[in-house]
Amino acid sequence: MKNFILSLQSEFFKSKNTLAFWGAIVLPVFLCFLVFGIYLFKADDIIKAMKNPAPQAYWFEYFFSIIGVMGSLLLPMYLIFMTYSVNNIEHKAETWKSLFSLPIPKFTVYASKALYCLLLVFLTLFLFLSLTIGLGLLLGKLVPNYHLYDADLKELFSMLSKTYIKLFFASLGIVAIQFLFSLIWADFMKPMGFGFVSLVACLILLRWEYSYVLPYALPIKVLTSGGTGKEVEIFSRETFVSLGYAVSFFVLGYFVITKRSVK
Amino acid sequence: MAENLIISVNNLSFSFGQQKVLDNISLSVPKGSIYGFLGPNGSGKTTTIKLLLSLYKNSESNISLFGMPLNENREAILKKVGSLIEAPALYHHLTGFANLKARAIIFGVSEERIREILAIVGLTDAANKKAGKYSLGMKQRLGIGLALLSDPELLILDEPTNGLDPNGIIEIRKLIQKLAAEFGKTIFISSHLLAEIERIATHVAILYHGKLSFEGEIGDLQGLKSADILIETNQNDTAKSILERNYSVLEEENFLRITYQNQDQIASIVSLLVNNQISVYSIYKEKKDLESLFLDITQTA
Repeated sequence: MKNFILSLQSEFFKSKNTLAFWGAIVLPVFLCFLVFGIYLFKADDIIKAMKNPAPQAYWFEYFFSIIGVMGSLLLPMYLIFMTYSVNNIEHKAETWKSLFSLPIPKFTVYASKALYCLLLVFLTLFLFLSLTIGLGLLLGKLVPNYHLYDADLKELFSMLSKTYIKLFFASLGIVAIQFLFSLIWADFMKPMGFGFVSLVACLILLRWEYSYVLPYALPIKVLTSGGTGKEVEIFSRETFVSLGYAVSFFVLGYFVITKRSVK
Repeated sequence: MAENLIISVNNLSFSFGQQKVLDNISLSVPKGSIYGFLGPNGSGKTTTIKLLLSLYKNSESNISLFGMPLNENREAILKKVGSLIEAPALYHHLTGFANLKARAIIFGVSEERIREILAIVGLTDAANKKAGKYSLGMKQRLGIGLALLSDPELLILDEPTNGLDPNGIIEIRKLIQKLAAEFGKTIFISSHLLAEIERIATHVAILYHGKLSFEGEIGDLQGLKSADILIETNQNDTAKSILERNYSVLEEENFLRITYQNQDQIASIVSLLVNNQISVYSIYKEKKDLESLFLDITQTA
């Protein structure tokens, strides 16, 4: 366990100046502030266009401006890029051989890297959630005409938190698949190309009745399955499918590294 | 004897698919030695090293380090080993210090030890420079620094002077000698340059096409040194048939080659030829250096 924590710490240390790490922070900060700016400076236009709806509706509109863009496109793309980047540090520096000749079990090296990816996904989603709520509350103070404080904030925030938790679980399948491919392919094009083609293919097949089995479609399915106002069920079919992919591919990845010779 | 062996390899063979890379090699690396592992490029040196570090899968249990079979004691063995394999594996976006720190975190090694290592490998002044900006020599030294971080008993260095300029080679050579003399490390160093190994090694093994051609102390290799007499005459064919009565003669393009025994032998060859009315244009002794000996050993294996 000590080895595992130290490996994870080392993982964090060596990638703290990389795009994978900063992407996890910059992406939510950029998108949330952009949407916040629009709602702040275009408040009159938005209020006029929405024709005085219930305060809840402003919140939903604001939530969806962020989570809609992020969940359907940015998040899967970030996952593909981030898993590639975390493994590419070792491909680029040719450090797999030195990592696997450390006096720690291969499983520790593998699992700390995989967990590091999951922590980055968690970090980015956590930032999205807290910035969405924080900036939303600030917006309520700065633009009283939205009447954001009149809504049932507890219920709204609980719903948003559950959606993000669900989105986290729905991302794990993509993370595990992309993690495996970027582990075995040093070449930039292969894992990224495979990821983007799979993402596009899954988006095209979104209306297929069994589309919930497509791992790359799961984040967007999470967003489209629960309509606004509905109770969000965290452990739905999509969550289980994603977890199924995640467990299978992480186990498969470990199997691959124990059987494969290290170049 | 066996308990003094740091590495013991018995009849190791290894293949990549159908291609046999190592054919029945056995190595014995004594404690405290600088063991030169020589061979031309592609002879199987890196494969052997990767097997020693358990990076390649070897189902047989014919490799032992520190008296323990490798397959059953991977982590216990690797705790005592530091390695540099092929080009140094460095994170170019991190400074020299941070490269050591990323590894030090795993070993639980202090920052003081990192500074000590930087001083040993002569990189104190370049500690805060990004490793990507290092010269090849500095990268190799940082690679050795990484291998030294956990204070291992055995250092395995794969071609540490590869691609370096003469100054870089000298620096690495001095560093290796210092590590053995001052820090008592056993060093297993591979190279394709005999001249390099000859200067520092106490023991040598020569690998050629996956087979071991020689293993022994460096002195044993020196003992194999021999010399030839080269003779040029006006009639090499006739001279050859005359000399063949007493010696074994090799005819090359413009001269005859006879293995050198002593000075009297040269005198009697000259008189024998002159008495048979053959004009001797030149006769001289060619000393074989270790380099050509190395070529001989590898090419006749």
